[in-house]
Amino acid sequence: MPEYALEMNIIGAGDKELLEISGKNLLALNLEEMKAVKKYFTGIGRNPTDCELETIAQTWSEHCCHKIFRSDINYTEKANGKIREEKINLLGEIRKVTEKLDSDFCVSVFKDNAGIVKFNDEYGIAFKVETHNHPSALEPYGGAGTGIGGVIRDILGAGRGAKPIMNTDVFCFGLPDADYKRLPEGVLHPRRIFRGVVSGVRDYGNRMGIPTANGAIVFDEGYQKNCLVFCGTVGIIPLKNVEKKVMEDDYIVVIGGKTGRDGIHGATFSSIQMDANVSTNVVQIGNPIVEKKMMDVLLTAADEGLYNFVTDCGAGGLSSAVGEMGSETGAEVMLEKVPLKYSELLPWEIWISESQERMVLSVPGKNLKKLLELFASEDVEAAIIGQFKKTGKLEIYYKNEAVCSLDMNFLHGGVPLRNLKAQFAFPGKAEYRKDADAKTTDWPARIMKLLTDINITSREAVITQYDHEVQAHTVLKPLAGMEHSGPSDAAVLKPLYGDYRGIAVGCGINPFYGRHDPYMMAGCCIEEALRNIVSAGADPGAAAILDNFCWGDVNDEENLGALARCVKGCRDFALKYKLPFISGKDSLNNFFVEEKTGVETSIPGTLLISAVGIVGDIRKTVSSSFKRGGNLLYICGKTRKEMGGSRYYAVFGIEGGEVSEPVPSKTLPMMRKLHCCIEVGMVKSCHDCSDGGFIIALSEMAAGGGRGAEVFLDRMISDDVSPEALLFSESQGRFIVEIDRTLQGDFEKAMGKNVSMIGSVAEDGEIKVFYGGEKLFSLSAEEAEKAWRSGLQW
Amino acid sequence: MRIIEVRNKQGVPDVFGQDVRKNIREMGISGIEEVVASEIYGFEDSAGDDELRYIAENILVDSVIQEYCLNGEKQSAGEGRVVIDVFYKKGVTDSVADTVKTAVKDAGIKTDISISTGKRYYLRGSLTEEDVKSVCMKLLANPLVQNYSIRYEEGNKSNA
Repeated sequence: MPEYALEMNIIGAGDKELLEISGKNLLALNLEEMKAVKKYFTGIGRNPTDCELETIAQTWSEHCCHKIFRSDINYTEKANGKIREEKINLLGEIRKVTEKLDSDFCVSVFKDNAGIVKFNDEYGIAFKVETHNHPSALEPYGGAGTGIGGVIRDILGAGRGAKPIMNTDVFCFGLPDADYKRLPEGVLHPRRIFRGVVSGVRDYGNRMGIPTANGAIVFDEGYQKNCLVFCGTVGIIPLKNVEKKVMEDDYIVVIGGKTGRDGIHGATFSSIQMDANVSTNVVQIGNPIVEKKMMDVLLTAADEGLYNFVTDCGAGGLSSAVGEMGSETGAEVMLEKVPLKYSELLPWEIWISESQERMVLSVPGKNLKKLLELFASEDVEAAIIGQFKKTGKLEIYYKNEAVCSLDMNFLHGGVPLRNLKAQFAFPGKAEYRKDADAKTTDWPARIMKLLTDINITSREAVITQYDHEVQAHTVLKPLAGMEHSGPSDAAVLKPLYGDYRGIAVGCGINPFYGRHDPYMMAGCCIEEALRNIVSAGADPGAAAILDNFCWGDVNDEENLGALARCVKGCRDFALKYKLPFISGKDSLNNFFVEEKTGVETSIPGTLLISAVGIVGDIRKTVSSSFKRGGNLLYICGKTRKEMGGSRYYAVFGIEGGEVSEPVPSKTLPMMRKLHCCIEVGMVKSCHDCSDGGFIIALSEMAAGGGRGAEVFLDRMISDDVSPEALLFSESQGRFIVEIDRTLQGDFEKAMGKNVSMIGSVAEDGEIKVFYGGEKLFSLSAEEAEKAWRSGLQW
Repeated sequence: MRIIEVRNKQGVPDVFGQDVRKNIREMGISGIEEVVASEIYGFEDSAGDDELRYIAENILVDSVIQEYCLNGEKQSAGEGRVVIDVFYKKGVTDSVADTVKTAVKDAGIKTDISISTGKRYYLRGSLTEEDVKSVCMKLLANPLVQNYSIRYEEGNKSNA
């Protein structure tokens, strides 16, 4: 009679019982998967233990093995009465981009905890962005903190250990003025989530001594019940440490924090929709001090080459970490050797707990003593819990009793992939309503209102809580200008002493475009991320991107169809911009079911693209703030009437309109030329036009520079569109560039037809806008700055 | 459980408390007048008073701006405020408590100390019982991981 493991009656169970077992134990396995489990155990002639079933559930969870992204999807697209069918595989499409581009820039893609690209001949850059949505919705402070803690460990676990040098954070929240009384049971108020998440990222990031220097915040009604928290970390790693391999007979060593009951079922929980009845076990609370100590000693051990393999203990806990590490060999684990927070844990709980601040090493016997001494000398926990054995099996013992014995092949290859159906129907061509064009001449009032819009206003109140200077290598900081009063497009870091080469990091996110067309949203996000880093001085030819999809209920064919269309957009536009994907993550099933009414709400389909690129010489980095009165202003790229999903339409309640369509065939060559101009030091300031359009970008440059400008709208490159569209359209592919007057000829020669001189920087602090030979309006730059900086001060 | 309360000295601005007051106002509870916040450390019986005072003075208090009181001593009674204590539930990782334990050990105290950390809020204003409960549930405590307790100082004129 087994003492520590419970036999689960699977062999004798019918379909109904199988589903009951899955539901009762929070396994989140569907009937097909439960049947596959039953078949395997029927084959070996015994029932599984609770520990085995839990291991399978963790390994097969959407969170860990991305079933939807790996499945084949029959995708139907309906447009203009025509129906097109196609078979697509989401992950396959994304990987195809990287394979086709076959870039020398990529060092390690899609196989490690983070994507790695080349920094120089000696070092690589590791970059990973994770989501921590469900935990942050429940316990914002703990959820967000452990989110950043987790992605830091992904970087520590990239290759044989990369050193984290910067964090990024991107959040999506519900609208802050939501009525407290009308929130459904179990949903925290958006302001509370906002404050908790920001302080969670702040406290964890700052205490780790890693600068948080790039990010974005989106507010929309659709995120009220499911907030999104994206946490990213950039690291630097010697290229010789990129490859890693678990060797037979290596010892399994768990390091860092102790194991408790916190975070049990996080991996499977993320596949279950939210409602009011979630258990406290899934909530994780972080301890950055423990992680900081672990990081420091781990990087020392990496330098000394003391271990063969390292990985993070994230979702699924030890079961996922050890299971993956041993997938090619086999592993033998003694669970009683795992250091615990308290004694009463059951074996399966130890095995799948998601307690924070833990990592797993594969250590050759000859280094074991030295490694343990090193960790002991820094007072960091390190415990040998087993050994990798050439058995092809995962064998787990608790006090000498076998509690789990599974074939690695079944565990990692046994999950039945579904054939999914998805459909996407175009809502019809988006016409502009005839009455939509503004009759107003009161442009300044409209601009002021737009500047205070919750999605445009300065993120200063959040940014200033983060330490973006620690490690002393942040060259371009999140706020630009002498007074730190303008926004930066990207963060630029100088990671190595005595080397002026830099790293630029930026991002693109815009769920509002996705409501019109997820395909164009993908294109716009990719371009925005690229524009951001190019503005700061990165080479568009030495850049790579990461994808993070957060979607609603994908069991719904239309939701899945929108996701598939978004992935197609990613594939097509990434290829055209020549940007390889190096890493990605999806978080599906972000939806909420209200207990009383059964009403289901999915989040708006959301794609975050994060870009990393190389700045050849950080001394040439350009910020977005105006530098000197009299300097010439240029617009690069063409303005079209593309107002669908724009902030202007949202703020003034106008519906319809076409969403912006990126034109890579024009934009990419233009970006290359612009980059050359930045590289030779011709450009004084540069800012891309995005949310809110041209006039918002111009006001932001004025805010950072404490100066005004004089611009002539008719000189903008366009097909004769109205002043309204010139001011507020969100056409892609546009930059505003400031040039010294003496360089006018050189700049125009270098850029060719891509640019038009639209005016100049004015020292007098007024933004004056002319159209058709007349002054259209003028606006005090100082007041615009005040308005822009006021929206988040609550 | 014995409690060490650490609060700002008279005259030192209580930014956190002011922030909480602002948040309560935002919830539509306009009767709130003042919020004072402090940190509380709950100790199980193992440590003696002298040890607790030593811990408070040497580990928990920043003596430039903060003071402490043990088990509610030095409390000016009868201000008529609502006092809310928020603690983590048992089993939830309490990182601050873990760090205090390490610090206590480093300070050479050999007694095995069991500790939990939390926050105390003093609310002054005309608040109904329902207001107070709503503030606890929606703002001060997350019932998933925290417990809260409400008590009224003497002289409280609730149900205004």
